Amino acid sequence: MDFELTEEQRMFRDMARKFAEQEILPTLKENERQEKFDSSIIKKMASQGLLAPHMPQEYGGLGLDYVTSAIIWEALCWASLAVTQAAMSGPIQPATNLLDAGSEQQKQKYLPPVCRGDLILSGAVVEPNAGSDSSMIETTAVRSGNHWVINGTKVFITNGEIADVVLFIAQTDKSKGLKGLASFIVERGTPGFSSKPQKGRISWRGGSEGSLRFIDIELPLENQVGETGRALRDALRGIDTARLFLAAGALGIAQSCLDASIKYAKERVQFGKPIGGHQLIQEIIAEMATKIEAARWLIYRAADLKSRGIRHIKEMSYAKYFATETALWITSQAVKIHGSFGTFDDYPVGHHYQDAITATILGGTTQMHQLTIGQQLLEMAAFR
Amino acid sequence: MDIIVCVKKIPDPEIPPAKFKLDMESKRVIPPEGIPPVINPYDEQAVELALRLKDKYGGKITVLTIDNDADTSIVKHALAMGADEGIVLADKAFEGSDSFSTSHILSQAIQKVGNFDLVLCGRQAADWDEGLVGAIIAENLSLPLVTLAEAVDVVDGKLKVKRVTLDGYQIFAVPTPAVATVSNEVGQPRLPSGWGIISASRKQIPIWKAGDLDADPSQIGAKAVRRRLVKLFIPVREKKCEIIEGETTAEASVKLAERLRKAGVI
Repeated sequence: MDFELTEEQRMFRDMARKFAEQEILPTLKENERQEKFDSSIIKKMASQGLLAPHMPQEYGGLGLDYVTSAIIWEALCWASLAVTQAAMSGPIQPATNLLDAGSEQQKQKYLPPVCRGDLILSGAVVEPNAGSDSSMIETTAVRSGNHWVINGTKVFITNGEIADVVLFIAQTDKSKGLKGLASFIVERGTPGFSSKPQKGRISWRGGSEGSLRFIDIELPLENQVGETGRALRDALRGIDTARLFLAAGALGIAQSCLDASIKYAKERVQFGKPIGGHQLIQEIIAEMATKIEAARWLIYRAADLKSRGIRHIKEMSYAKYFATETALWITSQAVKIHGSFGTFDDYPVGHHYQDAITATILGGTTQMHQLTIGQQLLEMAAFR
Repeated sequence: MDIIVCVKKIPDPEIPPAKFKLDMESKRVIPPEGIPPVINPYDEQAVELALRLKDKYGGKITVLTIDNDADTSIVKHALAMGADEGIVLADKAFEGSDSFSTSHILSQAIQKVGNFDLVLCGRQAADWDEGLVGAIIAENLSLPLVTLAEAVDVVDGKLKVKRVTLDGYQIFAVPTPAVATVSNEVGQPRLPSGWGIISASRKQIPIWKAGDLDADPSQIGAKAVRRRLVKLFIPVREKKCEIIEGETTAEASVKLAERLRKAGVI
């Protein structure tokens, strides 16, 4: 068992961290204040080779293992999880889904431009009444001759407003429940497709979310991805990848908050000495650092199993649940260490604090992951 | 255009002052624990300038470094940025070298590499700040030298080198092969790319020893040192805060200016 990063992993970590410092941090504060995602970061990441680290080289990715890819995510999210997730969500969730379930023609058409940053791909599962429970999906796909007719609404879709292509799930036969679900591709400009931004968030303000409306969209049969009845299973592979990277991203923001808190605790003098010299601050710092190390190894363990193609449902839930909840706790402690300064966006801890809550929701809520772990250990489900 | 870039591994200049420690007895810097050394930032800018020339004119970039631990990390960093080949010069006999002996080792290695149009070095190393190696290499190899180069181009078969001065710049036309030291005005070096990292990290880096270089044993290592380090210490800086009072901002400003002049700051 080797706990050291490889030379390649260290080089990727250092490069991604410098990229984050040079390309994400300088505009982050202003963009967050305007609740704006600057999509030019997608092309910058692509030209640096950071946009699709885990995707196979034949489709334009770097073909890296999941541990190295998670290390890259951690380093990028040290600056901002929301920006990183918005930039890389296409190559992560929907592209992984397409890679697993799409036809070769679909893969050749969409994956290389997505990995080059020439095409923005969004994945759309969630609806106003269907979050964790996909059996509630109300978007319909009705077969009519040689095409499908699509109607419905999708919400909280990363890059929904700016996506060129959307991979979404719709219900083909309500009576079949989850077995009636199927995946489809729709391109912007298709009659009946519209989108709008979802603004007013208190979290993820540097990211990008929108809602989609499908009204009598006619899609050719070849726009279906995979088989009817397997859509949720196919999507979960992409979601599994997203979970890993959200966990790694949460680790990045937690590490950033620890770094900032140590620096501040050495500089800020109260009661005649740096606040880091007070025992209660040391206790918080110690707990932060310990939880970060624990989260890091849970993530690397899940990533390693995933890279080796070994079943990792429980381990991924451990990582996602623990890392994101840890980030939520650490970011709040970091704000407290910074006192009132921490509540302003001049310090990194403030925007990480805002983003941490969303990390516990995306890619499966903490409660869903706890139920998954429980189901795996007890061999009985607490939900359908 | 074929270019050789000389690079050096140094302690990270960004380390916090509290982590910077010296061994006064041996007059050495104690490597800070947990903070890996980095490529000298000025040398990284020399790699950047070489890459700009390669982007424009093609050719091959070879990176040379002396590292007695045979650490290939900074050579691989340069390869990941886009350089083509890298060589590490490592031998116990090199230990204790100063700028003169270092230049001798590098000059021998440059001659062994062979065909080249330009040798680039950073303007100085950010650890000792001596800034001698580039010039001594030029002297050793009897090549023209331009220091503090901000930009290099090719015009009518000659190098056109823009040299930074205190109040402007000079333009030199230089025959090849030549040596240039690179000024920090070159700007921010590019980051290694993902594909560059994959390629560099899997590349086997040759290690050349003293015997591979036809180096003169009397010119290398501690015995060849021409300067003597008398004392190495961290200067103690005292901080004092003085409030300059004034009825108006203008009055306070005048008093501040007078005070600064008295202190010899302006």
